[in-house]
Amino acid sequence: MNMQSNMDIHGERSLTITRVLKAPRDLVWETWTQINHLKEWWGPERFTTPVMEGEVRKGGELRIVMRGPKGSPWDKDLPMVMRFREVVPGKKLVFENEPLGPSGEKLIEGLTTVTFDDHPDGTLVVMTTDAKALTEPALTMIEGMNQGWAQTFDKLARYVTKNL
Amino acid sequence: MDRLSETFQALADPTRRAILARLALGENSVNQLAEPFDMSLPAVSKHLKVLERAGLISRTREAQYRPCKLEPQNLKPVDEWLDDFRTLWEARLDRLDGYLKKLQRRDPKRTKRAR
Repeated sequence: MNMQSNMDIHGERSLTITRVLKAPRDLVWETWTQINHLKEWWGPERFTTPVMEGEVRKGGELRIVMRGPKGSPWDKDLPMVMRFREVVPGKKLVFENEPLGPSGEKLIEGLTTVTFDDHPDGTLVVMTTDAKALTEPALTMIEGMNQGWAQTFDKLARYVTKNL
Repeated sequence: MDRLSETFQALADPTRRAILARLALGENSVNQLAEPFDMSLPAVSKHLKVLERAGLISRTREAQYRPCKLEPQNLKPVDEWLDDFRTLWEARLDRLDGYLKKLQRRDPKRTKRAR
């Protein structure tokens, strides 16, 4: 496993995650583009994905609701929408990822590109996200509220690091 | 607009990122900053104002040529956000890794590459 993030002030505010998955490329592609598969891995360990609907195709979108472990602070609906800008079968996905707030508002503008390549051990997945902007509702939540979704998102990431 | 949102917007422009990159090497006057760009002084000043408002640079009021200085500590919130985002995706990919193993155990034919 190889992680790399580029947070240099000389470049853009972007992030790259590189991973080799031990499975053939066609199977990896299916897990990224078919709803029945996406539902199984979208949430981190012990999270569930009660809603995963829509279609992975150019111009299409996925509406997703993720839920944290029972009794944890994330035991509530965590909605988001992914909008697909580019879909090159077996090779590449480009999507806007927009975690949604409790009332469906857009919180983060980010553009993510995922490429899939054959690798001696399986499939090389390279994911790059450019953080474009935080929207007004996100900022209000981050700075003003203690229980906002944006903070939930931060806590979730930290929880995942500590508990897995 | 809030500080964090301003920071993101300030970073969204390639000229402004180039200005920051130059300032990472040390203080510069507006004239020095304008040099490498095919741009008028007022245009460069406008970019500097955006960067200043976002708290990414500061300009001293003492010297007459008002040199610009990088304020890197204000980039931290952006990095923190990206860090959280990365953590979530790493966890997701861990889960995918396990799921792919399960799928292949269930159907060993899927371990072979389709041609």
